[in-house]
Amino acid sequence: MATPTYTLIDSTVLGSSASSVTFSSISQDYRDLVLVVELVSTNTSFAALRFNSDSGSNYSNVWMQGDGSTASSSSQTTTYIRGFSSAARTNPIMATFQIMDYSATDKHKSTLTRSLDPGLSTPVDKTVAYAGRWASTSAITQIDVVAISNSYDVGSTFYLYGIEA
Amino acid sequence: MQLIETIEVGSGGAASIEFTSIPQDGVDLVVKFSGRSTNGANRIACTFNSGSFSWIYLLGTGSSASSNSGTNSSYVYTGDSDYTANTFGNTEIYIANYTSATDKSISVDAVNENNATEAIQVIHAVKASMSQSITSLTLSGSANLAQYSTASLYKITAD
Repeated sequence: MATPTYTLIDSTVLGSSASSVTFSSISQDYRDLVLVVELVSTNTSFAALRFNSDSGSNYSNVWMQGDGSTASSSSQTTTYIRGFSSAARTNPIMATFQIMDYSATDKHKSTLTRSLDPGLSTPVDKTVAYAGRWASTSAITQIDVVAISNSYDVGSTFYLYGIEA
Repeated sequence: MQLIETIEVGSGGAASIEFTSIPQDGVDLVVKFSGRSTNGANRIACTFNSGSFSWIYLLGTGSSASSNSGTNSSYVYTGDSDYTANTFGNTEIYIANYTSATDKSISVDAVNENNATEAIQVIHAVKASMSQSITSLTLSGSANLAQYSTASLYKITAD
């Protein structure tokens, strides 16, 4: 099997804080997308994805997580694809989002996400694996990385790659 | 994603696999490792030119799930020498922003399976506390790595 390529489509490194980062007019030339987010946060924020500006409750999430002592699993249908939730911290934290068959017009879009999740209300570090579904057959042409509450701080990085078939 | 180097352990085994003089023109690093130890250990260390480590894992065995944390560099999975012959463990390590002068965020996915008698699937979230770019990377254990253990180092660039 050939090694899948990571071709950079677009990137953003924040020079000032922002409540969202948008990748628009996404090329439809790839099979899958990979979004790597490394977040610097001095306040409470999420790394959540919305596609094509859809803010409806069309996103299903199921996840499993470990906090260093307990393993658990849960699910949620909400208005975004879940990434990590970050309480104030000085360490950068990372999430990798895989978005499969993003240009297909005959299937809902599936996502897989891995993240170190510092926790929201209580800053307990966790490692989390998410599976998500966007209930739409539209090709993804825009991704908004949304902080949900507060903002992303200076130095946060967002890299969007295309994976060739 | 561009291959930087692949190293395969030769006859007689090796104490470690080392990548040195890592190019600094990438954004992220990916290590794909297939390994087997020559003692009873099924985890080995991944260290850099500097840094201390902390991690949290989520582990499934096929019958139960558990979570643990640690402050060492042993987050790379190998086939145990007690395993069936030719059984190797596999680990992928993703290191974000490896040239930064801040702590490094690392995501690890690994599997270990021994002829249906033992199986592990595990994900680690690792933090490397360091204020330097990663210029070298070493995989090593308490015993040698067996012949045919292989590691490939890739860089993901912004080209």
